[in-house]
Amino acid sequence: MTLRGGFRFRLIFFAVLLLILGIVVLWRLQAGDMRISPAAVAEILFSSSPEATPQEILVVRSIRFPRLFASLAAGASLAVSGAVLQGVLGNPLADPYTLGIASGAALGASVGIHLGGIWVSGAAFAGALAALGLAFLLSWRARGASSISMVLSGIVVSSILSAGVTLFKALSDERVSAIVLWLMGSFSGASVESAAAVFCGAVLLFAAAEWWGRELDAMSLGEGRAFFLGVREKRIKITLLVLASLAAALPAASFGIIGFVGLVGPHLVRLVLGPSHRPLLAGADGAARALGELPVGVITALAGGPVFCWILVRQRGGDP
Amino acid sequence: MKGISVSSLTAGYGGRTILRDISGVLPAGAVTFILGPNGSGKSTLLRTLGGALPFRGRIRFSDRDAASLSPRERGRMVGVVTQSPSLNFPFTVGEVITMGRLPHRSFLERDEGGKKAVSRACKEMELEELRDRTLPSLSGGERQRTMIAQVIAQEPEIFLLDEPSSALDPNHALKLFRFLERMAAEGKTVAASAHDINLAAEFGSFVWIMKEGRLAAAGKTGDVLKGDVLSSVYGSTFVPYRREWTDFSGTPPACNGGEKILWRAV
Repeated sequence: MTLRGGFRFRLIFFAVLLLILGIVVLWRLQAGDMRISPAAVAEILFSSSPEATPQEILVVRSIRFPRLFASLAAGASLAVSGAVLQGVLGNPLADPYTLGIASGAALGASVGIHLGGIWVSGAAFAGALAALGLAFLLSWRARGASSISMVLSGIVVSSILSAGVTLFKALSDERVSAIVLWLMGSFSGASVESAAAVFCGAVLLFAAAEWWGRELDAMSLGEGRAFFLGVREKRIKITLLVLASLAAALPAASFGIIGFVGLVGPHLVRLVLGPSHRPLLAGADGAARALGELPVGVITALAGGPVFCWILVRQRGGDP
Repeated sequence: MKGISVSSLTAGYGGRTILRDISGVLPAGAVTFILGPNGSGKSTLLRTLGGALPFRGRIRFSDRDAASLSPRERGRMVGVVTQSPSLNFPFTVGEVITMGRLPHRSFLERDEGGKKAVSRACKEMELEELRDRTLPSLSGGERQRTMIAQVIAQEPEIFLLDEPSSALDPNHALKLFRFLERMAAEGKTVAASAHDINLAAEFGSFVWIMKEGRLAAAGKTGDVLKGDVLSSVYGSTFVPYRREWTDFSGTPPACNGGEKILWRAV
């Protein structure tokens, strides 16, 4: 059972999400080794000549705010990307990482770190896109990019690239810890610029997917249905796949592997709002921004894994 | 010529040619049944007419070349009922039926008749009570009715239905074919594939019989449904029988339709 409900219910749901988000934002900005009151935080962020100490200004403006912005942007882009991919591929188990993005980024980053740690983000981004391209190509050759072949290709590409990552770990001797650290995902080195890039990717995908929300609904009914309803299925599918891939590759490149947000975020919202894509996208966005605040990939996997198992088991009950 | 006219149609998928050199007419204002053994190309024919498969030859919808239609125009003109949809996402019956309005809405156009079309579709397929139920929670027949209702909400000029009554109970099958007869009476083109020859005998004005991807016979129902034709297409011997319009007490049941010749394989 989903709660669904009408427009009013959705409005309340979004209001609650926004409220949670607001609380999380405030908490993240004031908590830490150096306690800074919410009022002081607001002053530091919005006033041009705050009365806080230089250290406090430095901590909030250069460390906490970029990290917070980065985690919100990453959560949003991964969750929206997950929701879109699940709809486009008609497969609720799809997420950006099923399609090889994570392992591609990981291999790219491993190569970058192995070669001396320059251009790690660039290498990860290139790796993510190359992995996706490979998965697309494989699936296209196999069965004309049907949903199931897309997911299967992603899994195959992922496995091969993961082996590559292991190989680089073995070859990297003293740099192996840097690779492992990168793989765990972290916002500690986040800059406002990288967060802004991730955020732009998320906004672009969000806008496109909202625009085609109804078409996405029809596409998730299975192959062919949307076509018979006059939807330009191929064009929309390819555009959304490319945008969703970019939106997922950007945070992977900057912040490492943050698992399960893209998979679980949309499912959590679907439980409340039902499967229609237009409210789902907005909900997934909000929910995951709150979720995405958890700083490390390891934690999202630890928390997201069991949640996903729970969703999976529930679905067997017939009415998910 | 109103309706669908097809000339030298050859089509297939996955590198296989399935339909070979089909020419004929599915006239507007009539229900045409497409019969034929398993694998004879009935579904492929319907999918090709619906625009989902590449083809050689020519398909015309009334005065329009099918290849010249934009996806949206096609969506407004042709409704295709296919087999059951994916159950991966728990859409409600109401949501699925509303998707039928997709070709009628756009950024610039409001879908004026949308609500009415959706509730009419619900009523025709008796789905009012199930409107808030999700697809995965329904029975196979209820899902089939939902998908038919989606196409009814689409309000197409041409209905293409692939075994639309395969999972329906007798009551809903009857309601469906009565609805299709009404659509034909309004001047729409209706083509439905079926395995039950007697559905065609009862409700079809015209029949196409497919065999091994070719059109083996086509024409008015009474002219095509003959023992020798059916035997040569299906293999077994077919004998005709007359429907007796009396029940066991001798009272004629209160329905019309007159005498019909039905067929049984022996």
